[in-house]
Amino acid sequence: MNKVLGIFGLLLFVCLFTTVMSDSFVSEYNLYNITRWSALFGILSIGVAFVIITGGIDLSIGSVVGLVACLLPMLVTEYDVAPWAALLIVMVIAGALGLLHGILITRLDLQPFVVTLCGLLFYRGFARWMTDDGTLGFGQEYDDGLRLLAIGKPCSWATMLLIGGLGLVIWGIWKAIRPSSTHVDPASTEARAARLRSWSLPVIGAFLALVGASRFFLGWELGEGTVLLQAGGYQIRSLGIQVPADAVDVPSRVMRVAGTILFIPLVLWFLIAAGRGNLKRVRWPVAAVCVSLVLLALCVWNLVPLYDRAAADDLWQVGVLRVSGNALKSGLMAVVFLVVGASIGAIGWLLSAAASASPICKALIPALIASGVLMLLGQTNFAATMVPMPVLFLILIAIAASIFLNQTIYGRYLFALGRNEEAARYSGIDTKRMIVVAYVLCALAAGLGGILFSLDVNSVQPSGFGNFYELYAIAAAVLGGCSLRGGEGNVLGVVIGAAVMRVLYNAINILGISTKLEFAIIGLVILAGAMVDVVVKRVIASRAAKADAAQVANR
Amino acid sequence: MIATSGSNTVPLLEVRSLCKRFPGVRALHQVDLRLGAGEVLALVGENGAGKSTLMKILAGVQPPDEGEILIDGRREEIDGVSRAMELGISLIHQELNLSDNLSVAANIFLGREPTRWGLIDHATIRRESMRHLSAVGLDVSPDTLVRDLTIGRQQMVEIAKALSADARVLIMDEPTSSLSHKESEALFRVVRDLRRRGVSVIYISHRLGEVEALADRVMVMRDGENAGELVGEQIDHDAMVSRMVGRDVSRFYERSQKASPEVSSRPPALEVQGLVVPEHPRHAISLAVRPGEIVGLAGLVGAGRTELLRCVFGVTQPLGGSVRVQGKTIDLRSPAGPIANGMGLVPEDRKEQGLVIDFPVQTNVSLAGLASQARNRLWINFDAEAQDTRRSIERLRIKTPTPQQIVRYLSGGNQQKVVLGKWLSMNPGVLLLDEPTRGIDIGAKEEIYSLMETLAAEGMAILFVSSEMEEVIALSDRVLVMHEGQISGELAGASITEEQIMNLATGST
Repeated sequence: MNKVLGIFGLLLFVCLFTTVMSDSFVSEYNLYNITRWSALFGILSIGVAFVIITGGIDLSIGSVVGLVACLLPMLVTEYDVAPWAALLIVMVIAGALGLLHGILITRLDLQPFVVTLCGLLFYRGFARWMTDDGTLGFGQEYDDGLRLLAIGKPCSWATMLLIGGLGLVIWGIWKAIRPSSTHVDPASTEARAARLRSWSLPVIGAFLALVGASRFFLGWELGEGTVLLQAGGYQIRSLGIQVPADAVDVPSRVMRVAGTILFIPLVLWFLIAAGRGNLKRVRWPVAAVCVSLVLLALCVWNLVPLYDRAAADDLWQVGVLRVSGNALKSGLMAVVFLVVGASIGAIGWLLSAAASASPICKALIPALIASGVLMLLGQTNFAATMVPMPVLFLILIAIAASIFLNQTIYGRYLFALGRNEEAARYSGIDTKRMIVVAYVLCALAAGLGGILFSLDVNSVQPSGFGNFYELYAIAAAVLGGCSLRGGEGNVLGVVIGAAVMRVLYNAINILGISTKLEFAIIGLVILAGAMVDVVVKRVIASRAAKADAAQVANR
Repeated sequence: MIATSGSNTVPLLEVRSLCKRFPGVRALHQVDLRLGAGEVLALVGENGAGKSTLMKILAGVQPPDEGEILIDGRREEIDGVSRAMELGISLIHQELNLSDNLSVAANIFLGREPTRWGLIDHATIRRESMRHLSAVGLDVSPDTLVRDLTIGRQQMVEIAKALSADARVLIMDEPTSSLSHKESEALFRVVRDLRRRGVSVIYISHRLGEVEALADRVMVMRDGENAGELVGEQIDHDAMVSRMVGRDVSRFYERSQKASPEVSSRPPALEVQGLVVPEHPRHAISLAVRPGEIVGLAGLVGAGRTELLRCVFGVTQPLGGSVRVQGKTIDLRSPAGPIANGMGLVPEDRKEQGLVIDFPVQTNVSLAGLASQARNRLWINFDAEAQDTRRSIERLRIKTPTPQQIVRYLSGGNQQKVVLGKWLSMNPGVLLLDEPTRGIDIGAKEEIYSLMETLAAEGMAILFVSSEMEEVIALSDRVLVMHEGQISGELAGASITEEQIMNLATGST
């Protein structure tokens, strides 16, 4: 869980920094694009996460994406295959490629790196030869049909919040009322914290549902709904709910107000509980949060307007220094960068210090983060933004993958064999078959990704389409907490990791940083993430050792 | 013999109030140690007593938290392995640290290659290697690849490597744990020879018999502290053990009751017929174990006992023959078949084969039984998993703070109990154990012995491999002795003696 919070902090940091520096980041158009691209890469990342959990690697993802992206328009436009059949064919091909990888790796004992590297080269070369390196696309013909799979907008985020919130309520209540098998004194702090934790889920859910439902407060009517997919004379349409135009902004307002109302008492409760738990341990983090937030406010009110006013070719007098507008802009950006980073870091410090000081605090963290994020999101018109189709796919896949990994025996087998294949085999697990399954799932995800990417872009260059996507996916999975040693990883982290990659890319564009630096910046951020992870682990370990030593000395 | 611990001479190596802590553990506390030149000091203690940590500090692998180390009376900071080697201290790890893809000579000079004009001076390396190899009585070409040597010979290469670095203090951590009897004897000869030449040896071992035979002085450690020192005549098994465990213990575990004669009339629970193990294709092996019986599988290292168990359990596939459990022939293509038919294997290497060591106790205990208790053979039954784990922890007295504790942080004995728990939660009819007590402390050993006895009394058929003669003799109703891939004889009742087993094991009858 800590890893997920860490990567979430990174996401928050990049978002916050970009928002502070530029208004256009939170524009409806930009939010729509970020969520769409994050979802597309998230699908690939979840796929490769399965393989990484087994301790393997799949380098062929980008080429599978490219191959599928070439095959689909070819089948549909040149060979006049029915769209649904074409989809089926390319998915079967992708699955077969995964099966091939898995069989080569398990039966011939080839190394995953080698097998999938050869896949990377072969599929790319094959796709280029097959298409004669010509650009492919679907033209305008499928804009109201097949392409809606990728570019459709089924509903707004408010509707998603309503559905997701209700789901969370039901799931949370079901979890909370299930008899727990642990025998803890019901009056103890631990038991109170456990109750708090289990009930915070449905409360968050109810809150989300409330925000979503507010959209329909001013009334609604059923209409046609947009066409999501047209196949063989049948249509799949989104919920045809129409709301009055002035209702569109209501959820954002509700989010902002209700988020704030919920957030402030939660913060107070959290701080009081932390102070009662161990005041000494939390006083410095609290001070750090206060100072950094004051600095952040100063940045927003003073530096950012200055940044906006500064033209690149002017000369500026800052104190005794005369600087060029460019240097001033870069300097201001660096200062804001540091201050935002310090704020997020201080909040993370406070959360971890408070969590170790009091179990109540630990139980409050999810609700605290949820309400805080809603309060921030309420400042934008995120709730009115439309949901891209790929996000729906991603949500379904993420839920399915999460259930598979955490609730089924096969998921458990993947983790076990990823960390120690021999021990898993000695326990009667068919490790080879499970590894094959992982590669097939990865290739299927790549296949789906390829379909969506090609439908979305509508112009596929066989030589470059999907290049480096495997590395983006692997980086997202690793950022999200998968260990390349295997046996570790979780879906939520991977999805957030994919979002970080896209937001970073987007931020570079929006902030006007040279796109030539794109790879360098992404590389640096991943490196920094990995370094922080290691450093934090060491600090925690050494602190535990010191506390332990003190305990021994007191004995 | 040599009593250098007297106060008038300056010891070669002296350690004063050394302390070392790890998260959650006090590994060393105020430990003192003195070592004279040409002395063999044995260091004994249960697992987790701090022996290995102390040695790692001396060899520069880890820094101490407090305390000082004196060499020839001078205070030294040992801040790395290379510094330790400069000071003449070499550590020979339990798991050997040789690059098995390189030649013997290359290994001996690894990291210290003599050069001529910037290029490796192969001639000197070969000449010097030969000198050091003959010093340890090893008659192999320096060009042999290390992987082509037996474990015993590889150990000699390690010693030669230490000598080539002018080691004055040689630390050996469990050197005989994977050696055969003959190889051990050769090692003892080398140790005695080193002592004559003035090299001091710190010898860590669980095998107290060796310590009695070899050591000038014995230092006992318990819970990271000095727990007594024995010199010369005082060195004796019971004296060492009582200091190790902090109480008097009887000399060896005694089984309260062997299987009743009625057992031999029961139909066998495990029947192996003409099984051809792939590692020893020239022999077919047959054996039977009845419910309620404990059968020991004795023999030298490399006699094919582990290979036999692995084949019976479906880890490797037999070239012929069959295995029947409760009269039913089972599918040996993978361990899944034997497991489904009520067989369990506690493997030789618990860290690599028995456990996913970075996972919690609960996940390990439930790993094999997960499928059989799953709902619709798909959904993990979390309640049953937690209950099974709790039951195993109680029954086996696994010392763990919570079922969620990572197994790596448990002691060796408790780790082995987790492996046992994995199988016991499935109620197997047949339990195979491969060196079940290797590298675990005396207290845990006795618990495992009494558990095996209880399980047999409840009607389980137990087949176990052990290289510890006392263990085989004390526990077994019958003993099967293996020699070079085949069963060379069977002993039962009063004929189970150390001599008889050795005779069969060495093929000298």
